[in-house]
Amino acid sequence: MSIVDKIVRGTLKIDQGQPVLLKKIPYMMYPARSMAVLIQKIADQLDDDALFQLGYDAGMLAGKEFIDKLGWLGKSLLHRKKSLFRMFEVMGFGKIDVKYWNANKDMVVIHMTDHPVIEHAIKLYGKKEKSSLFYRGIYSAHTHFEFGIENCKFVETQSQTKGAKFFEWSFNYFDTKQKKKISSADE
Amino acid sequence: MKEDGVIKELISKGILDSTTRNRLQILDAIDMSMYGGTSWPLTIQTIGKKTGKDGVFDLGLAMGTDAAEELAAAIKKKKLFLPESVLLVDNLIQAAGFGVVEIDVIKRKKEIVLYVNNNAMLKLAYQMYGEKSLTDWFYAGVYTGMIRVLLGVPKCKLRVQKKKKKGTVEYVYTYKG
Repeated sequence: MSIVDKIVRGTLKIDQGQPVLLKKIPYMMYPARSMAVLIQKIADQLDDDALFQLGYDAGMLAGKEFIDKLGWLGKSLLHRKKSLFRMFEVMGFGKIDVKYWNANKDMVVIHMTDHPVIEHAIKLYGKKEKSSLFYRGIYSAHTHFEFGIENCKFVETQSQTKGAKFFEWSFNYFDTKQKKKISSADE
Repeated sequence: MKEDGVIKELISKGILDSTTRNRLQILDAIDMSMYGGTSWPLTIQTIGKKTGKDGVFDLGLAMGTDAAEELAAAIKKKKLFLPESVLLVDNLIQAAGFGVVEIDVIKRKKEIVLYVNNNAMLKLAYQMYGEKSLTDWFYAGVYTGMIRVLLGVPKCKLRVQKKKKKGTVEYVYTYKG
């Protein structure tokens, strides 16, 4: 078992039937497919902006709890991105590949794959799936709150829902009208 | 069986394991994911402002029904290799992540009482929203879906009953056919 695996296995425990991160933060665990069903049903009630915002608000609260309850430990984890992203992957949050990150300029590009809820959503609903939009909101909030990309609101430039190999989510990196990288990304 | 015994049993038998495609799965078939504890009641409460408690119940029912159907399909494939204790409905509810419950089935399934022994989401929701919490209705839907599919009570529709006890609330869900 790698050191990263050991760290991941040590951080997450099942306490009285429900997962707890680092003995302090409770999580809800659920079958991913049923979550895809739930999100799609929620999407019947909300427009896309509201669904994104729902995810964003959830992500902001979770991010705040992460920092508030873990304190210095939480902040130190943010510098161990490899371990943190591995933990997120095991927790069913997908595999994140950071392609560009500049907190000074609030610019970021990530590729995301292997998200179990979104995978099931695509199988069940095809191009009408809404789970990726919901999680884009959640990830935007976490990227703002814990990872220092101020007011991050991800835009999607590639989508597995539409057949791409990964989801490409970015903030302040592409000029979406001209469909090219903005010049300050190279500075 | 002790409260978290079924989870330990699942882990020890490799049924709940993180080494399959680097994600949690149960029964080698059901992908699991997670959601922040305090975020869950927030999400339910936000939706509930628009849909009311009946709408929130329906959302829970959709989630619980699908979870139960996925579990039932996986169990059908692996039944011979699963310990008997895992196949009890209240243990399956726990394995699916919906809390620690005890179910009493009375009068040949015409009455059902579900006691929630531990559900961190219900507790958090009550701390956040008190009597206005809609998360208890969400779980009424979830447990209804699970019971309809796994216990074979298609007309089940659980209702929430709460008992206040020393600053906290105990949840009991009931159905009378």
